[in-house]
Parts: sequence; C-alpha cells; structure tokens
Amino acid sequence: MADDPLDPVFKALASSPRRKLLDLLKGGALSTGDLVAAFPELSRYAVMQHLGVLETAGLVVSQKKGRVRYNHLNAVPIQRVYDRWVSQYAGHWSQALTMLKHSVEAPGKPLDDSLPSHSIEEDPDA
Amino acid sequence: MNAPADAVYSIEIDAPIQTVWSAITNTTGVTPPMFNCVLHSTLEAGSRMDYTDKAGKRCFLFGDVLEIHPPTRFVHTFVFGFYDDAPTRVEWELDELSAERTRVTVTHIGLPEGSKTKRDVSGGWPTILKRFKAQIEDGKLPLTDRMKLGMMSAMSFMLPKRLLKTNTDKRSASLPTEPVR
Repeated sequence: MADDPLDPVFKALASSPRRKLLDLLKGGALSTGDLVAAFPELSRYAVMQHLGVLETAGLVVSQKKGRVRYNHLNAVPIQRVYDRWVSQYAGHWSQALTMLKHSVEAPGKPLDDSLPSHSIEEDPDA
Repeated sequence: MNAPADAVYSIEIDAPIQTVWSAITNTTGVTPPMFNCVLHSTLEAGSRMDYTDKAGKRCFLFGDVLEIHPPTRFVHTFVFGFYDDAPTRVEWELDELSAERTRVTVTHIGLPEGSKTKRDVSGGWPTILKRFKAQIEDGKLPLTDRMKLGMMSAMSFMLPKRLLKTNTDKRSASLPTEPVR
C-alpha cells in the first residue's frame, strides 16, 4: 500500500496523551518542562517520546529560545486533514443547496428535475 | 508559564529549496498562494514591501524587509491593511531536507493577544502554506481555492477605502521603523 502523506498525522493523533499535549499547546507555546509537568503520571522520557511523534508528524514545531525549548502547535497538517474530507463534502453541500435555491426560486419548475443526484465518489475538482 | 506570543506554522514541500524561495519571494506577478497578491519590493534589508492586488490599487499587507538571506531566511514587519494593529514580525525559514524536499516555517512574532491580526493570521498562514505547497507541487491551486479567490476578486469593490494604496502609504510612513522585539 502506498504511503499516505497524512499517515504520520493519524498515527500521532491515535493516542490520548498526544492529543492532550496538543490540547495543552492550543492556547500557545509551552516549554518542554511545562509539558512534562502537566503529566505527573508519565516519565519525562515518555512525554519526550510523545513529543517526538508529534514533531515527526509536523503537528508540533519546537524552537529554542535561549536555554528553553518551546513547543508550538502547527495547525497546517490539521487543516490539510480538514481539506481532504470536510471541505470537499462542504463543497458538495453548498452546491446542492445553491441548486435547491435556484430550483425553488424558479417559478413553475418541478423540484425533482433540477435537483442534482450527488454521489460521494464524485470529485468536485474533476 | 511565560510562553512567548509567537505562532509557528510549518509545511514540507516536494521541491528544491531554490524553487520554494523563488515562489515565496516572487515579485514578477501575482502569487496565487498569497491570496493572488503581487509583492512589490526590491527585497533588500530596509526596503518597503507591499502586497497589493493585481492592479496595484489596494494594499492588503505591508511592512519593511528586515533581513533577507536567499534561499533560507526572509524577515519582515507585517501590518494588515485592514487594521490599525501595531507592526508584528514575520520570519520565513527554509530548510533543505533533501535536494527535492524543503521545509518552510513561518514564525509570527509579537501578535497581541485578542487582536484582529492574531485572529486572522491563525487561519491565514495554514491556508497560505498549503497553497504554496499546491502551487509548487501541482503548478496550480485546487479548483475550490481558485473559485474562492475569483469570488474575492469579484467582491473587491466592497473593500474599505483604507486599503487603497494611497492610504496605506500614508500609514506606512507614520509607522515606527523598529518592530516589536
């Protein structure tokens, strides 16, 4: 099976401590020390391992400021996940709704003839 | 927990670093990933830069070039034409991961908490970076993005007068030369 470029993103998200790490970073960057402190039940090593997986997936970007390493949430891969599914379907829906609007606003035209029949396999970009 | 108010956005693009650099610093016409804007600048440290519409009539984003080291680093101040927020600082960094793969990281520094600029860039940079990826790897933006840009261009008559370049020029002249931090 060919590798999907988003595979590392899903692997990274399939773990509750890693999702919690992302939740913590949602409000702004945190130092690695702060993140370790937020997981009293995990060792420093385990938290660093989780951070490593998130970094490999591009979900976290770390930058060194002086002696402190700050971890930032990178929203780009998440938006790519969104684009791949949600926005395509949203496109279908908005198209269907626009056509519905046209058909109900066109006088004397039966609805059934003008409503599109959409299937999910259709590529909106085709 | 004294985290800096920086926002970081990063993407990997399957292209040589020089190709990515040229796309980001393109001054020879519209740059579709930057909302179809044209970048006007001599791209030397200290020079002014403006992202305008194709006609050069409206300016959406302006600032000063602070540092430029092709093909790895480009630092500039950032003022949204729409708002009166103080200038912030944008750092573009390109890493050559391999001959055919480049990582682009944008660090936006000094975004005031709760400002309109902060609100807008948090959605803006991911959009811009993934559009650069599409533009460079596929030669064009996805159809849905091109439709959105077309729609924005058709509605440009609704944009506020403060975006007219004659007005942003005045604002730019009155800005402090040194940005935050």
